[in-house]
Amino acid sequence: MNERSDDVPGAALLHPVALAALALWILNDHLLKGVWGNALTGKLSDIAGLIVCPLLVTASVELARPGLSANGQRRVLLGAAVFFAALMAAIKLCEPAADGYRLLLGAAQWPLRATISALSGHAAVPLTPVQLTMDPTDLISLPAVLVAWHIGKRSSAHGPRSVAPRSSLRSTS
Amino acid sequence: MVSRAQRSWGVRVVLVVGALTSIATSPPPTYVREDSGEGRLESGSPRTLTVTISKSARPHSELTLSFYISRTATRELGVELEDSQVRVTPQGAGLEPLHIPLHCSTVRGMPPTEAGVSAQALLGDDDSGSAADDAGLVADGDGGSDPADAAVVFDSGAGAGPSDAGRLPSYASCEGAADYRWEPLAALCTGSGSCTLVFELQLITPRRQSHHANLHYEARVVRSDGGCDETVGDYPKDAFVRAGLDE
Repeated sequence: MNERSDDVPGAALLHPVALAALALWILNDHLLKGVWGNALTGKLSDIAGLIVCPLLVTASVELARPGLSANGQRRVLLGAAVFFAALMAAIKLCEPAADGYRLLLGAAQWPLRATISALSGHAAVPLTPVQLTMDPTDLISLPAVLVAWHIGKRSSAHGPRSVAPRSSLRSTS
Repeated sequence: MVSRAQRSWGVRVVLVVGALTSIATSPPPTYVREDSGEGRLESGSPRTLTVTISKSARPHSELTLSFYISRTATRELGVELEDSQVRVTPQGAGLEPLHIPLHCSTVRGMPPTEAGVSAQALLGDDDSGSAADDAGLVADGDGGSDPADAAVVFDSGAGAGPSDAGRLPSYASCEGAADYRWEPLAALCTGSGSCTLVFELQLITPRRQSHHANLHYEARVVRSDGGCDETVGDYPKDAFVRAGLDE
């Protein structure tokens, strides 16, 4: 990219580190865990998720509210980073939180699993909680949210993106 | 040069991919504790309870699952099974059945007096050691020890041998058995992703029963890849399937 990549809402998602984290997340969940399935692969997705998830939330808000100020973007990013870090800690340490996570994510996955099962002619798939290993050592991945914070903060430093061009258009007409 | 519009679309694409990835990040469960047959055993016959067990495995590895119902515990809970069948439907990426249809391996009950006299001889044998070692194989699911427990002993050994002399014979039919046990239920994972086994357990119960009851069952998966065995679930300890038997 020759142009600055942070001039569109949610541009932080296009940061090479964010893209690499997303690619690693997909690769790890759908290939590496199946092939190796060890403590390392158990943490790779946590690290990647903690980088990607706050940026996803921030990008969603920026797309929904293109005129959001730089401060507003940082607040959203900070809130998302804190939320996902707290969520990670909770589901790794607290059984009720882990159960809630298993149930909610299972519910989120069910429509797709049910559709695939129906299309392939198999029996109906029940709504089931997902598998989650409560491994406190996974909390070693928590600092990864700082990477998200760094990427997102740098991106938001350039302020609102979509409003400015419109303003300049009006001023020139 | 990448235009601003293209980058904007790129953000949206990454957003969608990221959202899908975050939803799909945790795999399906290795087993399901809930009664997954739509929650209840329906009236009529057969009443079907579906238990879904999924397990990731490497390509060319084998998934073997044994399934066990404690008939003694079931009786204590007021459920009388007239007959039972298990049907296995392998699902998932590249999962092929190896040992299907199933073999129902059961042990017939013995009169309490006879069982009490020869309890040691009735112990199950895993073909790996002496009779004393086999004591741990006794499974009755009721938490206690009494002469009737001998009826629920089963044998996990693959074949007959001198050490099997004292054990009870197995029958292909589950009718009238003390316990129900099916093994091996094996499937070969030929895909690269998660392989899923779906076990559909069909229970036929007397129509006169009209109360809620629990079924006490155990599922155990052995994964051949990685050289490790994985026990799935602690069913005798903490998992009961609540199955309504309302007429």
